[in-house]
Amino acid sequence: MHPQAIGIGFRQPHYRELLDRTPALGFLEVHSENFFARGGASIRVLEKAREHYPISLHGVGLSLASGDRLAQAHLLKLQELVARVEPVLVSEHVCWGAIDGVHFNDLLPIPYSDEALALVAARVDWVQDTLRREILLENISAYLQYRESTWSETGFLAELARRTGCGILFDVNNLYVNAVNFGFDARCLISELPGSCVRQIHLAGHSRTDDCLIDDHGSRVNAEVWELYQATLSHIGSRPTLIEWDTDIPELDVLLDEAARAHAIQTRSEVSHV
Amino acid sequence: MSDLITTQRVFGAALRNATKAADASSMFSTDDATTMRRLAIYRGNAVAAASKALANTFPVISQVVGEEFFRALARRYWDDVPSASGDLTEYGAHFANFLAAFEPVAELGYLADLARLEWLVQRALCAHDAPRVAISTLTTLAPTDQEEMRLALLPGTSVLESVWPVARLWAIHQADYNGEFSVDLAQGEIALIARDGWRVTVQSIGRAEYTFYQAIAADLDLGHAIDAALSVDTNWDVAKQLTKILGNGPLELRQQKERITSP
Repeated sequence: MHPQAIGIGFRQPHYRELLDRTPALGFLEVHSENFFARGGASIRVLEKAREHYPISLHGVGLSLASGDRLAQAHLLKLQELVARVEPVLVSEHVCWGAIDGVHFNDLLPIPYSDEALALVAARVDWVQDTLRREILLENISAYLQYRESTWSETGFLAELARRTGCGILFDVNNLYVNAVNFGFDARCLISELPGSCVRQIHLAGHSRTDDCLIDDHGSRVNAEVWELYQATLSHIGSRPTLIEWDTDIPELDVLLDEAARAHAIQTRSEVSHV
Repeated sequence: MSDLITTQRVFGAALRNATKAADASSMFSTDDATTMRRLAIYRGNAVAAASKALANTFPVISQVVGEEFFRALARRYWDDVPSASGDLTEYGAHFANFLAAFEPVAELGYLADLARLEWLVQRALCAHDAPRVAISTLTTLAPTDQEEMRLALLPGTSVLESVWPVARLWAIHQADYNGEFSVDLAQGEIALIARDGWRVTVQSIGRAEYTFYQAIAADLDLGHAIDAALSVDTNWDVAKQLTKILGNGPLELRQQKERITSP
C-alpha cells in the first residue's frame, strides 16, 4: 500500500453512501469480528466494498495477551475471512479481553513485562503461521497502568516486532490518551518507534472527563493529536493512515474531511523530508 | 501460577463484581480512588458492549419490554451469563432460558419463546448464502424418481413449536408491518424460520408441514416425508402443499442433482 494512503473505518451508517459515491480513498478498514458470519448481508456488503477499495481487517476479539489459551475457533474464523476478503492489512491489539473463559469484549491493558512479551510474541508467531502473513499489532489506550510494567508501550511494541517480524500499527490518539491519563511525554515514546516496522497509523477522537480522557472514537481528531501525528511522520515518514470513528458517527463528509486533513499533513511532511 | 494470569483474574473479578475492585487496587499506578473510578469505566464498557449486542439480537424483546427495562434485563443477564466469546454475535444463546427463569417477567409468559425465535432469526441471518430455487421447476422426473428425491433444508432454516403465537408476535413488531395488531395469546404456533435472500422470513405453519420438514431434516426422501406428513394429518392436501413447498420452500436438492438438471 502506498505510504500516503488514507483510509476510513467502514461503518454501517455509511455503507450505502460509500458504495454509491466511492470517494477517493486508499483503503477501508473494518472490525474483523463484524464479518465472521459465513453468509448474509454484512459479508456481501464487504465484498462489494472490496470491489472498489483495498480492505484492512482490524481484529478486536482475539485477546492475544490473555492467560487463557488462544481461541483457536476465533482464529480459524479470521483465517476464513482473510481468505475470502484478501485484505491488504490484518491487525490486532496488544491486550487481553478474557480470562477463565469469561470475555469482557474490550481491549484491556496488560503489564508491559517480560512475561507478557514472551506470551504475546509466541501468540503472534502462531497467528502469523496460521494466516501465513504478517499481522500488525496496535498499542491500546488505557485508563489504568500496572506498577509492574518494565517496558514502555512503544518499547514493548518495538521488541515484539523485532522478535516476531510483525508490523506495528501505531495509534497516535491512544498514545496521547495514555500520556494524559498517566502523565508521561508522548513525544519521548514516539522517538522509540522503529520506523521500519510501522506499517499503519490510526487517528481518532477522544472525549474528556474530569478524571481522564476517554478513547471513544466519537469526535474529530484533537489538535494535540494532529501535532503528534505530524511529529510521528517527521520521525518515520508517511504511513497509511486511518480515520476511525465508532460512536456518534457523523456524515461521511466529516470523515472525508478528516482524511483530507491527514493527507495534507502527509504531503507537508514528505516535502520537509526531502 | 504466572503473574499474568493472576493479574487478569484479579482484574477480571473487579470488573465482574464491584465489591472485588479493592483487591485490584495495588496492581495499578493510580491512587485507590482513581483506580476505583477507572475500573468502573472498564466495567461500564463491558456491560455496554454486551447490552448493545443483546439489543441487536433481540430487537423484538426490547420493543416488548421497552428499552429502559431491556437495559436492566441485559445487565442482570450479564451478571448471570458472561460473554463466552470474542465475537459478540454469539452472546445471547442463553437469553431465552434466562428470561424463562426470571421472576420479574413471569407474567409475560411468551417472552422466552419469542427470544428463542429471535435467536433462530439471528442464526439464519448469519447462515451460508443459498438462494431459494423452486425445486418444482427443476424436476421433470417420473413419479417414482420424485418419491426417491432427497431434499435438505436451506442453511439457517429452523422450526420452533410454541404454546404461544410467536410467529404472529414477531411479525407485528417488524418495522415494515402494516396490518392490524390483534393477537390471540391462547393460540399456539409452529414457526418456520428461513432465509430468503438477505432477509429472514418467519411463518406460522401447520403440524403436517412441520412433520414434513422434520422428516427432510432427518434425511428421509420426498416420498417418506410426504408419508410422515400424512400420518399426522390424513387430510393434508399433498398436491397443493407440495406445489407450495417445492415452489417456494426453504429447500435444496441433495442428491440426483445431475440427473435432474440434465435429464
